Amino acid sequence: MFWHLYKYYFKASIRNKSAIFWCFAFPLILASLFYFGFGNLLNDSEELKAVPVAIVETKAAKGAEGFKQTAEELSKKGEDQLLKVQYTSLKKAEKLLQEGKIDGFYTLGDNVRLTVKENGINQTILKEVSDQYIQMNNMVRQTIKEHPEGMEKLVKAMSQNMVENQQISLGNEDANMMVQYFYALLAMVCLYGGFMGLQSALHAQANLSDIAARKAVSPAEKLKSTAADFLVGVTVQFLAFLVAIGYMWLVLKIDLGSQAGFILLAGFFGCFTGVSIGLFIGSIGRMSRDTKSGLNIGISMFFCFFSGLMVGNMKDIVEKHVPIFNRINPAALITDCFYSLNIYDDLSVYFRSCISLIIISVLLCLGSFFMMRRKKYASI
Amino acid sequence: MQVFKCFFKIVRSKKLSMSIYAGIFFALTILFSSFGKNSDTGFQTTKINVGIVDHDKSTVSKALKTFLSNEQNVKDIKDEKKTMQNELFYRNAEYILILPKGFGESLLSENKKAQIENVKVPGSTSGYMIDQQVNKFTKMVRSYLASGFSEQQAVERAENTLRSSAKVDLMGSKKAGEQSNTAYYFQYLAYIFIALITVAVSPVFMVFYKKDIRRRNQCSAATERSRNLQLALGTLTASVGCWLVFMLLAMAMYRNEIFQSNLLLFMLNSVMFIGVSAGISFLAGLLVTNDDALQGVINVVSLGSAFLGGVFVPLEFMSKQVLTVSRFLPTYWYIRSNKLIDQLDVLDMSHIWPAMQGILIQAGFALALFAAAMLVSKQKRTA
Repeated sequence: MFWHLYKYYFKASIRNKSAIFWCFAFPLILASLFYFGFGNLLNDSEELKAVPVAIVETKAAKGAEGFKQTAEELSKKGEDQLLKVQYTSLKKAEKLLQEGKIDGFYTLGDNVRLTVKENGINQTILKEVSDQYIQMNNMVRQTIKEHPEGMEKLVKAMSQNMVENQQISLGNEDANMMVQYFYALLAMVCLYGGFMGLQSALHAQANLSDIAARKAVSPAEKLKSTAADFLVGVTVQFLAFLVAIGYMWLVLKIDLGSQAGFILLAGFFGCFTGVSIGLFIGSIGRMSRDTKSGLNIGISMFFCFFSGLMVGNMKDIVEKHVPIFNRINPAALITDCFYSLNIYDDLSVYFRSCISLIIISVLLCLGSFFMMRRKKYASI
Repeated sequence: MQVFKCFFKIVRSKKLSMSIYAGIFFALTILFSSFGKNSDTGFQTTKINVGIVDHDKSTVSKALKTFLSNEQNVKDIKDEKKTMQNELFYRNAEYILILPKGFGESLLSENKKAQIENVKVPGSTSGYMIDQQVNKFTKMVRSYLASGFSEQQAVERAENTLRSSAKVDLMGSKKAGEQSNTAYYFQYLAYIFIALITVAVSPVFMVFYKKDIRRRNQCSAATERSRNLQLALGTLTASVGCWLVFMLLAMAMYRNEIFQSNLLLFMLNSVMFIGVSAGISFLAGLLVTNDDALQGVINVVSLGSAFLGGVFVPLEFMSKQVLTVSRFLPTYWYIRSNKLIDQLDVLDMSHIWPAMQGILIQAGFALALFAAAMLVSKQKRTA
């Protein structure tokens, strides 16, 4: 009997066009939008790229020979090429800057001046280069004045590297923060299970849907049929999750981390929680269908917002101010699962989040059970 | 004015979804507009978030920290792997500098190599910057020391010398590309206008162009002309009303800065965009036939155009291919003009023109949308 109900409700569910759109298609559209919108941010936006710059020499540029040498050294082709220099006239440089072909230009007079159009990291680098040149010059000048005998040693010290600044690895430096948006999107897919759960609840309450009214007079046990509905909800939602994550993995080629098994397991618990939330909302009180469905959307978006769907570092902000909310927000718990797999070496956070998800779902299911049981309708 | 009245009866019935969208909008603007900068201050360097773990706590390590905090956002962080991993992932620290015990001592002794450690995004620009600065500081202390200055002198001289810097001139706007709060507000309007107007207005057209209702109306005493005029008037009232509400809210929320900005141009740009939104909602109301589908269309169109048009992610970050597509969206031109208007500080025709161009292109889009919608409605009438 149970599997009979399961089979037919499953068939009915996948024919519900609007549910299919929201659970299957919408996440794919959103994922594509994220992908196209973040485009360059997802790849190597932080990577060091040579900064295009122009150098303008004026007649008084006698003291700036050294700067030209510095610039030449920094624009040597190679992995850490910092500048892409061209020598131009002032007019040309201004034009290039206006058109955005260069990020700034140096004017070499009795000193080095930098002209830029706007703030930015490239402009900051240009400033650092000229600053460093000026500072080194000042050091040399000061030494000549106060300790001329030490000049030789100074030059030697300047060319020596006596400090070893060693890069160490925590294992996650490569992780791109933009991935956070896709984690939050996957959490959204799970919580959209709320639509399915809500549907199950509506199909069990005779005052809210015709199907439930019909079911109320059938001999099938309510627990059995609602459980079948619930299970169908989890199944369909997990399928939607698989489609979404498959799309991210295979089509968009987003690096979500390597532990596929654990990721899918977390997704399954997430879907379970999502469906439970819908079931619970569906069985509260006597609100109308529309109110319940509005409430469902509102609540799931609220959770998703605080897990970082709209603002990537939202979860971190919450963690610093109200950490307890991150422990009970299902969307944050789901993203925490993915995040911890990608970033941490141990699985403690992963398991903690999964267990919280299970506890939340069980509580919600029990709550729905007690609210729905023994409801009888004398007349509708 | 039966039709007009009915128009707003339908609009009113959508107040729940309208308030949800308005709520999202305010959450977004309040959050994002805190990123806005009101800078007429000229060029400012981009500060990098640096976390420091100082096990040494010597004069040198403190001097290094002070030097870095002059140029970057520096904070102490815990020497704990998970904290560091979190800070790094969310880029609260793009670079973590670990100064071991004895760092100061070995830097100040002549022949010892000083050891420090760092964590950074490999190959990143910010990582390179901080490497450079740390290297510069340590080298300078070492060099002063080598040339005969005392330890204390060397550190002091280094600190002093590192304060000198090149002069930076700013060409063009004094705002140096920084976006104001007002501009952020107007930027998010591009998302909310489409969503809100479509949610409110499309259902009206859906109702009036439903087969049975349309046929019933066609054989009523009211003329086609009067009905259409009232519908047009309703659309106009709803859009302009919505626009006005958001303008007044903007003036209330940003009263400190909005009147110094190019408010009139911002308003002109946004009123053009609400025209585009009205066109979209008109067309959507005719093409979509049921409520569920309309919800889908609203979300896809409003989010889609917002993402591709640069509302959520700045256009500079998008790849060339995507930008080619974006040009075919009115949102792109709205955002582009919005940015240009924000940066304007000379108000003459040659400076305003690029922004005006975007506004005119939006007008073109609005016209095209309305023309398309009329074509569809004509077909529906005869069908």
